[in-house]
Amino acid sequence: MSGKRYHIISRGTGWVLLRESANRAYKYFTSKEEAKEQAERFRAQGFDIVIHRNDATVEQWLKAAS
Amino acid sequence: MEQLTAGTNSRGAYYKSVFINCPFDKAYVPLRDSAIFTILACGFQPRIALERSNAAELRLQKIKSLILDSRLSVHDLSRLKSSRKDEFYRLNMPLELGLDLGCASYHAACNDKQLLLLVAEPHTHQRAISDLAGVDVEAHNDSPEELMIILRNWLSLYTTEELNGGAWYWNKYNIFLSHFYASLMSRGYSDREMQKISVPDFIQEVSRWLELQ
Repeated sequence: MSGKRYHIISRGTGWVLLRESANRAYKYFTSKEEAKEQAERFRAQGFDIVIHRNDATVEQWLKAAS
Repeated sequence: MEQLTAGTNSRGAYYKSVFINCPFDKAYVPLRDSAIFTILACGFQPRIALERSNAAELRLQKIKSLILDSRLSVHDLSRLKSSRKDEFYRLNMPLELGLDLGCASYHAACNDKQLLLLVAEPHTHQRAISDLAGVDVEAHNDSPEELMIILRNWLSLYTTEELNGGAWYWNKYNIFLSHFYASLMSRGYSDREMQKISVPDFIQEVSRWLELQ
């Protein structure tokens, strides 16, 4: 289910959190750590989190918490 | 002197073909792949020397054929400078750029060619190729994201399609890569194999995925 996934993606000098089914990012963060903190909340709600490197490749794929 | 012959492409395919003249080193792969994705996602066809492997085809002949087949060309000169002591800088990219410029200048059927010149850092190319002084060159700073936006903006000049914003393509590319790796893993690819996906396979996977979107 692609809608049940959020991606942490580089955006310029910062990072964004993007729901896979959305066309626009949920929020911009100046650091990847901040984006991860927010993403953990979505993970607790049943979303997978895919963390990308700044070249777009996949660094980590965290399965939903429940 | 060998005479230039027409390419193998139809005229319609010629207008949609984008020749990619880029380094083939491992460090460049993320940039190359983001360029391939952008070209396909914007409705064009990437043409690159690695797209086919035929031992009977001389490399230079293949490149000349790709140049003739492509109205648009992307030339990345970011490896003009050697990165460590005793390393030779690469001359393949300037050679292929020269062939393309020659083709556009001397071959009547190709006088509508359009070229995009890329470097890693602004103005560095002028120190190696001073004849390019005054020519517009874009710097991608070795960033696949910046390269994607430069390429998308340039391709928008040569299509009647309404393209999405650069950030949209970057988002989709990230999502594509996650699907791609998941798909390879489910098909039993080893980590080593995943690092060495061929360009034709990559083009096919991107094309398939974009069709489903």
